[in-house]
Amino acid sequence: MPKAAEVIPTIWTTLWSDANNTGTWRTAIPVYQHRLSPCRLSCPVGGTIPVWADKLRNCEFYEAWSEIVANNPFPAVTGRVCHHPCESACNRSQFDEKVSIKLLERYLGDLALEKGWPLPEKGLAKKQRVAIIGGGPAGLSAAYQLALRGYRVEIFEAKQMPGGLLRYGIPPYRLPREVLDCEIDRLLQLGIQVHTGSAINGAEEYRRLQKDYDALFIATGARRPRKLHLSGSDFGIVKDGLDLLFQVNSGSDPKMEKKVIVIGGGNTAVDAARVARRLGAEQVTIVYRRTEAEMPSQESEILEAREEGVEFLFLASPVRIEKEADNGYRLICQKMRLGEKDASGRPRPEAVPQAYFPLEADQIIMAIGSDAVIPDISEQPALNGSLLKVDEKQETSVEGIFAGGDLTSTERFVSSALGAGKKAAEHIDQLWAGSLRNDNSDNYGEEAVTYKEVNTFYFSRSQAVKNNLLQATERVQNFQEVQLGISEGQALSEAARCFNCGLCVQCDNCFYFCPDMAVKKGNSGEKEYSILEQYCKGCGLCVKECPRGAIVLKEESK
Amino acid sequence: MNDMTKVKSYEIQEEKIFLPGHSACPGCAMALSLRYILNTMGPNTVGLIPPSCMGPIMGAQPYSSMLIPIFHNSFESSASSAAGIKRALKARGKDDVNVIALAGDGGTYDIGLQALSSVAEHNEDIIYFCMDNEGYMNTGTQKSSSTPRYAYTTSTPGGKKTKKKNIVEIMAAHRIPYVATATIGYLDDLVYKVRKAKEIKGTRFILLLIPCIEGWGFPENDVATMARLAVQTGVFPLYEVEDGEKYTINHGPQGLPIENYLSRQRRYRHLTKEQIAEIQCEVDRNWRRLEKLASLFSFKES
Amino acid sequence: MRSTGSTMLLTGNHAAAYGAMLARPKVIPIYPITPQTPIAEKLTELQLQGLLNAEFITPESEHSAMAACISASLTGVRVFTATSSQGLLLMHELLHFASGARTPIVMANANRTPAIPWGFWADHTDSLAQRDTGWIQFYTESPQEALDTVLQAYLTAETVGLPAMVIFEAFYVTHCLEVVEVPAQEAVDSYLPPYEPEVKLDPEVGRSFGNVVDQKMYFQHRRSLDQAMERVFETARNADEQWRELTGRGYGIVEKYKSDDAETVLLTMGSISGTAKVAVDNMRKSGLSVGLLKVRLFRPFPVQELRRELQGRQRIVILDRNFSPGCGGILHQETKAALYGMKNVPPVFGYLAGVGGVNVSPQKIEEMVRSALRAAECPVKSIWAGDE
Repeated sequence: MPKAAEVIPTIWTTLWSDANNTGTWRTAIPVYQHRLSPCRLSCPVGGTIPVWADKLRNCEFYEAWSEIVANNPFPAVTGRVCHHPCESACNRSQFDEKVSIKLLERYLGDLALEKGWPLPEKGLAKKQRVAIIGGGPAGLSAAYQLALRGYRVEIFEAKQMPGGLLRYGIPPYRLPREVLDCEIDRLLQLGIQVHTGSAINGAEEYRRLQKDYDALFIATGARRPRKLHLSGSDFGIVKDGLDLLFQVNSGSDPKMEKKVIVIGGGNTAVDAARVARRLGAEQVTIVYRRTEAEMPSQESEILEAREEGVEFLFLASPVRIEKEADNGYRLICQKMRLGEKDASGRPRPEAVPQAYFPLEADQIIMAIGSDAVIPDISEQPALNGSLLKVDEKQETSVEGIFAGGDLTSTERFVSSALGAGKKAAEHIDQLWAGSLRNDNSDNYGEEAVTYKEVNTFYFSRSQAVKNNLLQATERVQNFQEVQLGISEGQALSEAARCFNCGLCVQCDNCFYFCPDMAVKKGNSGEKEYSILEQYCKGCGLCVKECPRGAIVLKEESK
Repeated sequence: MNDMTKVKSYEIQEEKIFLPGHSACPGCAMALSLRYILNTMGPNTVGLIPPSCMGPIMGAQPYSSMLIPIFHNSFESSASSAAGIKRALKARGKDDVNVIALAGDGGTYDIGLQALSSVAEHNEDIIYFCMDNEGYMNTGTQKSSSTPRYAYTTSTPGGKKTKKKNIVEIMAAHRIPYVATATIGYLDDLVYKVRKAKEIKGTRFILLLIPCIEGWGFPENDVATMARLAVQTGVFPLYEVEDGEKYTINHGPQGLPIENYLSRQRRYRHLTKEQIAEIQCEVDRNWRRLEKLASLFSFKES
Repeated sequence: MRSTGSTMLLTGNHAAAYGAMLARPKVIPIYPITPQTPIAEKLTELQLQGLLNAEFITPESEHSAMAACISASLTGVRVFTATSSQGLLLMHELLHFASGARTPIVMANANRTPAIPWGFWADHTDSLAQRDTGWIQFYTESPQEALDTVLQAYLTAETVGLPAMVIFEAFYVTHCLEVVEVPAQEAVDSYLPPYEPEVKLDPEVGRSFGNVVDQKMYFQHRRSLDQAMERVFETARNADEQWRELTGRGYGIVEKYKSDDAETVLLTMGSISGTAKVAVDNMRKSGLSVGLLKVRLFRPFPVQELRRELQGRQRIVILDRNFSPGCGGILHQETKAALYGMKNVPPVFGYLAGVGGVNVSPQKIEEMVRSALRAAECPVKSIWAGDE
């Protein structure tokens, strides 16, 4: 008799579903894309923060530092003084607290100095020569980027040492001299020549430079302090804030009176006040015509100043200086109030009529800002208000002459200067190299990753690491560094807080969350991902579950 | 606690048990759950599928999307058919083969409850997975007794008047060795539970919440988010009950108001403020009750 | 193991149980219902005695019992179950399932009146109402025949790949004590080989079962089911022959009783056949040319046999212990359909005798035959007994 099995018809399966190309269902397909992050977009030097934070988290210290110095040769400096727009833009601040990016950069900067890591080597030698006028942050950054590309660079610095405001404007308790010197020296190892004590003045000298060099970059800063002409200025108790800082930073020990008033609201004013305290002033008051919210100075500076005994008087403006009977002086101030917003976007201070009051003072320090001195690069170089005008290539109205930094911009930030120098270098390079060689060769997509695109389920709330500070009472005794930085352990856990917006860190989430097994992990240890186009239905679950927006859905045209 | 920038690895035996090319809706939570169930159970398994969304996912003749043998049983008999297979395998000396039922909520809470109860009472050696998308979704969103109160379905267009049945308590009352809830929003937890169940003998019941894109009405990339919201709002706490007594809560609510969950689903779009408040009340009460149950016995872990 | 046959006093239920035991089923899902409960009881007893080694499942309903039978059978083991009326009707959905799945399940069914009204009486309606489900159906009339048919049913079912019912009546057979020859296990083993299908639910085989099919596949499937049904005739005959060789007992798919030269032929199913044989003897004594055909294999319906046997007869008298509303007696209807188109087809009288389990005496049967002989015309409709 025939066996039953022979007569069973085909209601048992014989084939497998992977013959079915469900990829035909979709209208959009996920694409892995290294995207811009808000921190990176806001960084004037284009710092690739998610990339180096990821490396740092994985203890790849040298690689992380290398990533930073591709754009910024001074991480130990910026890690101390940068105004960190990256932190303000940080997506994590909408979750718990921003990532303390500046502290991480400092950690790596200091580590590099400790280990003696050199900057990347100078590029293949090119014949063009570039002169840089001004050895401050903008000039040094431009020099760096040009040297990396192989150009011969010479810096003409008016003062005795390069550094600009980094050296002469920022006091050592914020930026220790050794740190600054080490980073500048390390930079100059690329074969950059610096001519100190070599100010360039007058059209004649500029013409000579234009003849001898193939391009110029001028970054002479804004070194002319603004003056407020008060009646009573001739009593001799008024000092310029920048001058004070210059003296202190040059090593001299200026005399300081006991009762000091500082006029102004920027970093210079606050630095002047803190320097005054260290030089022995017992009562230091910063007088500012707007409120704390409008002060351009960094928040941490204001906080530390307060801890060091500096007082703040807001909505007040100096009117005149009067001599008192017993050889003292007083400053007559007028109350201010906030009005409509002005050109800077801040409320205009308006004087309150008849609201005068006196303040006792032995010394008055003016720190109300400074202006650029326009170089004689032509008869009438194009101006932007009181600044030298440059286009988006950082080029002035004179062909071949580029400029940047405080000379051309009201953004009086170190990182802006570094960024301007870098940008100018890139465009100078373009004069001869042809295509704009920079790191935008990848397709980064149009927009930075927003907080909504971060899948916060994968992160737990934690506090940002805070800097360790010297005790306030200790601080005013000397010019020791106030902010002490963080430990390796703190750096690693803080780096782990970075969402790495827009950067794939191979967390495998896309792989885990595909209902169609259409995400393939790379073979042989190489962890790239690919989409199996014959199966992907375009649901976008991988995109949603990517914690950091490193995948986007792209419409497909059939 | 450090950030979970890396998801834990599940050691999935490479992806050859559940094949792509299946007919689940794009972004389907059931397909995703199945991926983890099947890969954790391994190839030495026989599965059962009643009429449900699992049918199209499994395939149409002669195709199969699963490398293990699957039997398509009648709607009401997932549990009893599973028992038949397990006993037959045992009679053939293959007691090590896992037998799993992959039934929907219709086939569990409604038409299949009778058979399931009997199988549980016998403590038959099978794992019963209930893929709960809270309705008869494969046939176009009709209500089941798993549909929550006030939800829209085509058979309850004004919102369902009655509450969702608590199948976990029903199964726990049978004193079977293992009952648990799980969902794809918490993959670690799901895999942990499947692995744990695999090692236990007797009737094991795992209820999986399957947010349904079509039936509940939300975007197709949102299934994991929806599953998490269900847990975080307390609608679907993740917990285990062993031997009907030992309650272990794995993930409970995080104080998120129920509105965060309801407002994202089209099936709740018609809710009034009063109804939302009622639902919040009910969710809170159920959670308090669960907490009490968990504390009644001294083995609570967190 | 029982190495030698034995002679025992057994009820129909217990005889069926012994038959099942001898078949060595591996999985027995079973649910109790009057009057079948002693079957399960006896089987569990035999298991305790070590004569049976099966996995017993006692589900919460007959539907689940059949579900377990189907899935277990697909997993490649021989299964057995038993039920009656309400239970059988509850299984109805799955009876289609089982034949569609081509699972060679053998089920004993005790004929009992379906509710409403409630009753426990011998009536074939319950199993006859399943005639479209694709199960092979054997109607038996005695405990011995029940035992023998269980084994024949396994051999037939497993050869063609279709499930089979072994049917006997409530109380008239289930609880009727009789001397029964129970063959030795070895003898049965030589008759019925182990059930070991190649294709089954097993990770080593890997194939899946029961996906949705398209219309053409469904059509094909039904057609091959038809082909399997066609093979039943020869297979059942052979199974019966082999059994006769083994035990000396055979029944045929249609049993003939003094019908070769009869002008009038009675057709019966089940235990009424015994009574009808007495009636036939009486009538023959009084000079009537009467004979009997007992229909043992009802599904597939033995069309060819009946056309051959009933060719050239004067009268056919069918006794139906069942009733299909709107249709009448089922054997009556099926027989007429089987004879359609025959030359000189005899008039076929159908009597609804014994519906509801009422007792049908030999006198009653004789009255019905004589009434048929007297009738000028043969009514199309089945005639309610008593109305003749």
